[in-house]
Amino acid sequence: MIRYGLFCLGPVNYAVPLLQLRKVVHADPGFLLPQLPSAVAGVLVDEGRLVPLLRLAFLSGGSESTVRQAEYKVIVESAGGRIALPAVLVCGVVAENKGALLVSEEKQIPGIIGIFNYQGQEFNVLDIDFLAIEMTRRV
Amino acid sequence: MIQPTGRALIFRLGETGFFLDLAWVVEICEQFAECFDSGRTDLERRIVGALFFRQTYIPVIDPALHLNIQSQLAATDKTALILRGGEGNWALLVDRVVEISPVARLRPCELPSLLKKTVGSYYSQVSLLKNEPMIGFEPEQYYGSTPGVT
Repeated sequence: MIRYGLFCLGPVNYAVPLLQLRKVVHADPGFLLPQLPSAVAGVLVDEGRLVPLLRLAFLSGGSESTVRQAEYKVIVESAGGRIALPAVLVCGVVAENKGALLVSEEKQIPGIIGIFNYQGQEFNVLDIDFLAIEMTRRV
Repeated sequence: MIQPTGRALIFRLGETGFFLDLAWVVEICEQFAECFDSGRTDLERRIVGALFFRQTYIPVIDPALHLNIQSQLAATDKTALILRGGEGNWALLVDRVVEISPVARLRPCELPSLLKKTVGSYYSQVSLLKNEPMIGFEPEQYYGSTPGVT
């Protein structure tokens, strides 16, 4: 059974498969490096490795400058390596059968593979591999 | 020929840290406004002026332009590092010199493969100092050639 880690960023909720979730770090703004791709706000240092921190602004609609200041960073494993996502709230881990997974083909947003409906709230299920590879390509 | 000294100069451009082996460094000039001529520029070669140093004018390079780093400091409020080059000395503008550190304290750290394509043409070496990423500054990317290398 799939379980999801649930998070909030601004007005948008999102979910990542627990198998891809590595850790959540608190109050770590990370570091700015020059000439990063436009969708990368900085890097975190995790276990001696650099982890790109993605903006996810296309989901939250919030200010991009607040990404590094987000209270939490969710580190996930993608096919291309680890990436970090900003989060304002961490909402816990929920099994798929506790909610309803809807795969919407009508209004597909790149990087989102479905909607997980849990206790009346909608969580965008992120396609971590797509986000990692496509968003770090954008200059 | 540049022979590594085992000690690195740590400096900052904006908020980003960099390291450079001390073998490249001839002198550190913190106040150089009186010797700086901002009229001698060649922006195609990233030269933002000339510095009168040891009886001659040497080119001044601002790497922040190349790296697109925002700085709050005017050129003459920065620190000029006088570096050796194949064609003679040249000056590098940095925001702040932080310290001189044994190279052994820098822990090499690979660039994530996801970032190599975009940042790889600007820098290729990153090391951690006190768990903060420091970029290995590559002088030959900015001006002239490595002394002693043909």
